[in-house]
Amino acid sequence: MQGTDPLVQIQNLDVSYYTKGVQAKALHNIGMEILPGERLGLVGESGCGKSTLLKTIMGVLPPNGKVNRGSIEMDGRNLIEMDEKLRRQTRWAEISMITQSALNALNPVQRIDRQIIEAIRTHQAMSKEQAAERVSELFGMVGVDPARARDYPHQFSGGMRQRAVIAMALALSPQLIIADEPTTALDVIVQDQIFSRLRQLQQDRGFAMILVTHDIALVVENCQKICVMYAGMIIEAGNTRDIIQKPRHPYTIGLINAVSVLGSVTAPIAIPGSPPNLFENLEGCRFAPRCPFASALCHQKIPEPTTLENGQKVLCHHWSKADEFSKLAKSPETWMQSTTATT
Amino acid sequence: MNIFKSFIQITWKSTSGRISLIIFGFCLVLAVVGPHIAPYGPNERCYDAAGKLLRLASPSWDHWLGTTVLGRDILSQMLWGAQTAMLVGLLTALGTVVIGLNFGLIAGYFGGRIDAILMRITDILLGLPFLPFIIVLLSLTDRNIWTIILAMMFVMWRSTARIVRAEVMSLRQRQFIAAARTTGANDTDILYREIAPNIMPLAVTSITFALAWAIITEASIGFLGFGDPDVVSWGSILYDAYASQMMYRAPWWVFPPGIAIMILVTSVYFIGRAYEEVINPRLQERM
Amino acid sequence: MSMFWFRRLWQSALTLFTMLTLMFFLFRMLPGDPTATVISPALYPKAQEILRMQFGLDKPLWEQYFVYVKNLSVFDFGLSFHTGRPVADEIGSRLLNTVLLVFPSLITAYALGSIVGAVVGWSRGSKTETILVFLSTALQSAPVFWLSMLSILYFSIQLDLFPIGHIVSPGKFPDETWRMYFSADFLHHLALPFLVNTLYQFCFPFLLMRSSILATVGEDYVELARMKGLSERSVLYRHAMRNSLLPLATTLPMTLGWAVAGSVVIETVFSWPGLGLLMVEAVGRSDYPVVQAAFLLIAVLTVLGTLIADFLYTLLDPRIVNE
Repeated sequence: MQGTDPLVQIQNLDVSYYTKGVQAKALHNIGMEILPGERLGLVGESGCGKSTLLKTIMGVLPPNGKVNRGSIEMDGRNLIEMDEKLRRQTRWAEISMITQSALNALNPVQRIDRQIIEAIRTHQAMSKEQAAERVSELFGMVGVDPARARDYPHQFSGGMRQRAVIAMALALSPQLIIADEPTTALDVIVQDQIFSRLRQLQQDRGFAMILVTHDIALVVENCQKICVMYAGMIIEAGNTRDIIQKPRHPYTIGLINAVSVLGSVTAPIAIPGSPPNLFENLEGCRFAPRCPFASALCHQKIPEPTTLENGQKVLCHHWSKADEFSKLAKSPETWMQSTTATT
Repeated sequence: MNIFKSFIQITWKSTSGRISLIIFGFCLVLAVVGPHIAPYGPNERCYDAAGKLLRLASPSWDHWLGTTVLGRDILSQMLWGAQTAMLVGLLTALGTVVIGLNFGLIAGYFGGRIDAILMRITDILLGLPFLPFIIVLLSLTDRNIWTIILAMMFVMWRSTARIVRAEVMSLRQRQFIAAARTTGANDTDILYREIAPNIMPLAVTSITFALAWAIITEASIGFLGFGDPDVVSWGSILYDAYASQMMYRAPWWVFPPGIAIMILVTSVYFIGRAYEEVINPRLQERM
Repeated sequence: MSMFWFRRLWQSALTLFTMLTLMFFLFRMLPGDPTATVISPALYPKAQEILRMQFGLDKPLWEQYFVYVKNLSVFDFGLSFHTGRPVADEIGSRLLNTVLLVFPSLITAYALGSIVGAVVGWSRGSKTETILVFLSTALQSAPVFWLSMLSILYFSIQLDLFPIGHIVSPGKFPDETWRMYFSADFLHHLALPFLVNTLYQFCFPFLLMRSSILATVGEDYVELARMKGLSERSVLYRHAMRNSLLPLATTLPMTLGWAVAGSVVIETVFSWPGLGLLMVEAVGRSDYPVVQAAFLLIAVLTVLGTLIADFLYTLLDPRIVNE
């Protein structure tokens, strides 16, 4: 894997929202890269900045969101500084997206084929008939009867809608597809069907994929690499196997703890408390208030990213004590302490 | 009173709401004290030092807004008119919302045949030409401000009823209603103790709309010459100006009533909007 | 035709029938001698008697009602008390005048209002937005007859650009032929009331469109459209505006009937010989057959408008399924 150039490389990315003059630092010093054909999982609680990161990559931040620093490089071009017109051409053609809620993402008053054809014809000189042909082909790929292409979104079941959205994402054969919680609204069986279809498509067509989710189990099943986000920062990143076996950040430890493993004796332990308010001035490690292992240092100073020899990156002052933390984290009392200590 | 207090508090939060409340409050004060501070009677004729009727006198120190073709002081007429506008507006708005609220609650809660009948009634009222119908009602009875208020209420409650009904129908499905029912509350209790308080924000916005409408409608009635002949209203001042065919020579006669209506109604609209902007997200959260 | 439409039609017919019945009794049952509202007490008793018979007012009420309904079914609205001519003739040309004034300006106002509202709502928080929202609220708050008076004061008197009122110059078309509607003189007379009415009617669709665009800005499908690489303009017109247009497109037909009724004040100021002015005049003269017929006409327009609105809704929003 060494000699390959990254497909997309994000460096030192800072993004803030401004509401009535107040700044919320939604993303802080984000750095990550994704190689061609790679499956990367981006994990975090809601409100951790996942959506902001996606919107920044897609270039659709709302008007009050601003990129203050950093770059997103793709094929030697910095997407952030790109001219808006050129930028528009890269959208969907090079990076497309499978959106979170397929029901709301499809325009309710337009036929599905029309919405996909629109995406195709915005970027490629193609007749309507050719584009319609392409839609049938895409529907075949995702496993929906092409005869249903002229239906309206509300006539589809949840699973079919999600497949239609996947078909739309594949329409222009992009190099990168971002899947944002693609199956949250679906039941487990449909969820599995969709993921196996997605994995298969990914292997056949070789696009890279970022899977964004709050569910670390999904990432373990589907991705080779993982990035863990907390309060606008990537606090741990690396190969999925390494991180699951040896998490170095207390938050990651907590996340893995929170997943129930079939056959395990202990009940899953949720991390108590909630993420910090990003409108406030944050000092020190952003996880410190919820961290059972936080020291005085953690409350004062933001930790520097550390890269281990296996390529794992971690953002914690006390990463070296992670093995010990992992053991302590198994008992629910450890987590109770942290909440009582900070409240 | 509680609702009134929280209404003021909520509206006060936004700048436009605050400004509008101040303007509206000022108009309200004028309406109350207007007739007492008015330098002349509403239909009093004014004469100059030589004893000549002051026809169409332009604004001066003695007559800040000038006089009409019959020598009436326009400022005094405006002050008396403020009382009419406010009285008719507030009473009509209140009556409209009380009627509409009750009909809407009953139709939405009981559904079925009662709902069907009430909705057909609103259909009929919606099909009637609004202003002409009020005029017909007025021409068939005594024309005074009370019949004007009644006639307007008679037609205007339809919109409130429909809006409230829709809201009640969605509330009816919600859990706290079912919970109240299992504890053995009867229909009246559920309707007025459980549902009605949740409709209040809606009722408050309806009042502002009804108020704005009532003020404009009252002016239109006056302008068409169907107002109370014994009471000065802003609409009737404009009617006099128009009917005298002298407004071209006396623009000061035309401007004040229109500007007053515009300022008053605009402030009402903005109060309603300010309230709604604060209350709406909260309503959605509760859903 | 589906069950739904059958039921809607039946409902509309029932509403109309109830209305015409109510109207019959309203004009005859209100306090005082019913004939007094119809026949001037100033006439000689003998003349009153003749008139009573002529209008069928000597018959019992139920019989009058029966005749009334029977006549209505063949569009016979009776004779005007004032002119003695058939009401249908009186109203026909007046309705046309109102329609020519009101419909074009309403459609212009809705078209302009929705486009400006969409563009302004799209650039939320801009200075233009604040100013336009304030201006249109203020405009909506002003009585339209006052705006008309001001426009006459300024454009007709001060600048002498437009005539003060009426539909054509007096004496120009003595027999009021259809030719008059194709004359420059007519357009010249139409211009000012048209402008005032358009400006006034503009406010509602503008404010409605703005707020419904504001609600769509955050919708996922709008964001997806943007992510698809569509230009801002395409996102606005093809997605955000297309969907926000729904509530407006469906209120427009309902508004048509109301606009005819609402033309009363503007027609009064501009002496525009339309249905609104006729109604006011007829009420003033206690010419109830005319008022009654005008009301029925407006009721039919409104009920039709509501039906069209329902139909448009099912046409424009595929989610609506009428069982």
